Amino acid sequence: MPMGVMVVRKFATFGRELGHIYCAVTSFLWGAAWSNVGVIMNTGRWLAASISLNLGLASLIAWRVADRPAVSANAPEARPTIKRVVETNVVVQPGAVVRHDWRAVESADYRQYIANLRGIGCPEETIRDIIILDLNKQFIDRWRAAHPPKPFQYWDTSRSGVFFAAGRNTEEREREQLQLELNREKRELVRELLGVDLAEELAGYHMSNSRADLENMWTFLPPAKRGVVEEIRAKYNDLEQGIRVRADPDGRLSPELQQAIRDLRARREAELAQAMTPGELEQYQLRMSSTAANVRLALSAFEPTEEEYRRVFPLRRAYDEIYAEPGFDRTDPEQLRQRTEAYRQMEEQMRAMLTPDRFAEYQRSRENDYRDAHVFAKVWGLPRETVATLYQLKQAAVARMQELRADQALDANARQSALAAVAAEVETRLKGSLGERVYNGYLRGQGAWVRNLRGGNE
Amino acid sequence: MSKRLLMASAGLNVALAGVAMLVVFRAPPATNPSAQETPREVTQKVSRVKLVQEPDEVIRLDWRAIESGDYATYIKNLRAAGCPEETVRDIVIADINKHFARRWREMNPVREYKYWRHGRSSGDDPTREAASRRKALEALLREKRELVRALVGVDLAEDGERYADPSFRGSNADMAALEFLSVEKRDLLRQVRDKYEAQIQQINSNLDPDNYMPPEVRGQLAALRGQAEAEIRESLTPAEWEQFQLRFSDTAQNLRNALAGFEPSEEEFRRMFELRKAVDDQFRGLDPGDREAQRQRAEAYRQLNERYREALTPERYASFQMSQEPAYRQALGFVYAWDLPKETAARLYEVQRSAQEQARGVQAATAAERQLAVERLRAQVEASLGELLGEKALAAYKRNQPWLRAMQ
Repeated sequence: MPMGVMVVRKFATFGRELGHIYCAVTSFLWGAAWSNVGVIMNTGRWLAASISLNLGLASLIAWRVADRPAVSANAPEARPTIKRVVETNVVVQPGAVVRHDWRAVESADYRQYIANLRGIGCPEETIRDIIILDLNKQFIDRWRAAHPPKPFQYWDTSRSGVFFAAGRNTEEREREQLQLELNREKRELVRELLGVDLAEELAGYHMSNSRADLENMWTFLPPAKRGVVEEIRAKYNDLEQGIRVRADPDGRLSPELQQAIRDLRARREAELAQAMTPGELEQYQLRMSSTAANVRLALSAFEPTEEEYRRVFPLRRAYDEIYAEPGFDRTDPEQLRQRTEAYRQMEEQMRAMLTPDRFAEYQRSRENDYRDAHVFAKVWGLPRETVATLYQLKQAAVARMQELRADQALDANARQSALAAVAAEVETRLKGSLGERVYNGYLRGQGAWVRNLRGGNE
Repeated sequence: MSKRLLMASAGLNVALAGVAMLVVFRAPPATNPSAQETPREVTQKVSRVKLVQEPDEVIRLDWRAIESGDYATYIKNLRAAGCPEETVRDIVIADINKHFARRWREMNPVREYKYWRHGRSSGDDPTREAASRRKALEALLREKRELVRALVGVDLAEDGERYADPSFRGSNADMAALEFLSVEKRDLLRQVRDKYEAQIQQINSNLDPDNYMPPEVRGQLAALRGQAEAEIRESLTPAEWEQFQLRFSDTAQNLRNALAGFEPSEEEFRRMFELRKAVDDQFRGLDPGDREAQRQRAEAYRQLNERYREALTPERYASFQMSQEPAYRQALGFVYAWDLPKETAARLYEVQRSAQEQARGVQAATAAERQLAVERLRAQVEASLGELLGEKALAAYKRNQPWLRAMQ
């Protein structure tokens, strides 16, 4: 704490305590001597007043000493999280009415309840906690009233996963709809009563960095605008979910519902564009859009630079506008063919935007072997170069094995021993690169090809 | 004489005033130890004196007189002010939630956000660092649960949803399954579970990143599981222990899943449970690399089906056998999702079985003739399915059933 602040605080404390003593003394003196006003103040009376003052001061000292908590020799040190300690002393005159009662605060009307809590000096944060948890219970009770828990019967098989593999039936969808409505109502009520976002408030209860991560994602927008944008997002998210619960049990949307979602998304984009400047909107799209999530996932093993990501983003966005929209039917072979062709074209455009080396790396990052090696290196905390080593070793060994198998000049024994030699070399190089322990982990997780090579199967 | 006395008294006035200043200004050296055990963060703390001048003034509740730097006093003050117990719990639990969330964040600083990089959520991050974060989180969650239980008597494992506890993982079904036990015994079970979960986590945290369990670790875990079971068994009556196993054991849960569509009666379930449990117990913790043991296990489960046959009537055994067929189980899921009568699952299964048998038996001289015959068969099948399902459900069935598409 800065020295200046400490001095000011000490001074303020001094002032308050001085007032305290002054009150104790004057109230005593008034009590002892007020009746004598108008009477000549001779020595005897001054003596009586002085003795009374002594008695008053002695009482004050005795009271403060007795009130001080006992010191424990081995009491643990207070945690640094305690900032200050409350010490309120209310001196009450005879005749005053004291209403230390929560009933005077609590009210069935939330607005009144909040006003009363503010009236007694309850901190805003505590008011939010009280109201949010109270509302939470009310909404849980409403949910349970609509869906009372069934008694558990241990022979009842109706919760088996078999029943949920083909989609959600009407009862489940109605349940989801009600849950959505209750959540929306609760969120709106919290905003109306407390002026805060429920999800953000509850994020403060989470042992996670989700709130801070979110803050980081939103650094491109001033807080006031962020609130507006988040409201737009929440509103349209609710509306879209409301449409999706009307889909078929397997999630298929009728043409009318598909159109409704497309219209909704167009309206959302228009509102977002109005709420932000073009530069902010671009940042928003790069961070928050579904295309952003798709690009990040697709390029995870490629590990793009910011510049590369920004180049690829518009390409993927154009692709998503057709193939990530509702209406794309994965069970239709013709639509699937068109999507594959569009993806190929998008990759051709990427070739033009990336350097030849980086494009080659991108292509490699799309291969399953490379992605497997990438995941393995991540899990085991290995350097990025190990990914390429693992990938190249496997590629070279499998190619060599195929050559040996195709070589008609080799008899069975010669082929077997040549394959064994490849296997031995692969094992040596893998162990050298990974170390014994990680090598064993590799064999367990991704080493089927090494084992096959040993047995001459692949 | 009076003057001398007055002088002496005035001197004493000054001395006592000095002592009073000292006593008043010196901060108390420590609060009581029990309060220090449960400190909390406070956001607003002011010392003050209020002198009431008006004899008829109403002194309202003042939050500053309630809030305290330690939870025990805070709770005491809230209760003294007449705050309802439920609101006391809300205030304290919300405060504890935020306190522990802050502690977690202090231990896990936010990483730099790069919008062009793929990040994983902590739950599915396979890295060692993430595993270590999860372990620390579990420890904090246990500590938080214990603190809440000690302060306000709430078990967050049971009532966490009401207090918006983000770590609450229970469901109505879980709660209902525990209802055969008293609140005290439920609490005891959770304590046993928490204790052993902590030990299991300790063992797991030393595994390789791919979570491979060497035989000695499997042995340790089996021993721990045995100890936990023994402890639970000791705390329950024999009847409660039986109920506990019928509800929560792996055998019971696997059996409930396996018997979907068979819909056993209570009596049937108990008979099958006894039979299956004997086999499950015999092969628990089997080494996946031990081929001979795996062969014996497969044989034991094959024999188990024979034991089921003896335990059920012939009709019920036939029904059980059908419930084990993957095609029937798939039909069951479809019928459930589309709100069709349960019996439709058996009829769907029969249509599929019969169609596939007929398709295999199609005799034709040429490939073209065979194709034609299969197409005719498919048309018949679709007509039968249409009668069973109706137009809309049939369209969905055609979308989602590969066996029907395979007949194209």
